[in-house]
Amino acid sequence: MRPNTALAIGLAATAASAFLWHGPGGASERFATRSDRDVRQMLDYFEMKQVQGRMQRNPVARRIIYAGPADDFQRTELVRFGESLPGIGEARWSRPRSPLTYPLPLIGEALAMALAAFLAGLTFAYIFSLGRSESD
Amino acid sequence: MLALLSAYWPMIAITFVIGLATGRMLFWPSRQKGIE
Repeated sequence: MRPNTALAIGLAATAASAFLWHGPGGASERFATRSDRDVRQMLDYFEMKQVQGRMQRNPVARRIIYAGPADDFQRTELVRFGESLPGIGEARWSRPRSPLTYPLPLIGEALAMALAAFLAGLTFAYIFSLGRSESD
Repeated sequence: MLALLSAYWPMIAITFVIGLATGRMLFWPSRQKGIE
């Protein structure tokens, strides 16, 4: 097989794995549901029953969006506490205008993780091939 | 970040193996070539 063909097939399989695991595999929804639960627990702990905090959907991103009655101090502190929850990149009170702000949509981050793992595998194979050719 | 990795580790493992397999095709000398 030609090197370019092998690389193209490998990259396509990597992208397909990322999309399949993210969407039909349900990873993004599981992650968002768990984060929703963490946010609800935090709000319950602070006895802020009227405030809602949900993970951004369409597209899913590691961003909490709050809604509900709160004063300025509470708004600031909820952002701070929300961003300290595991896996959360940003907490805010309104949806950002552009989806291309940090944190990027989760599909983009999943694709980046998949590419990083693919390159790590490629690097390992290269290192093994060096050892192999020396021993031959 | 760990929470994200824990949700996506199977995908990371699969793509790592895909990278290994691709690298094997690219970098390892084939046995056929050795026989020839």
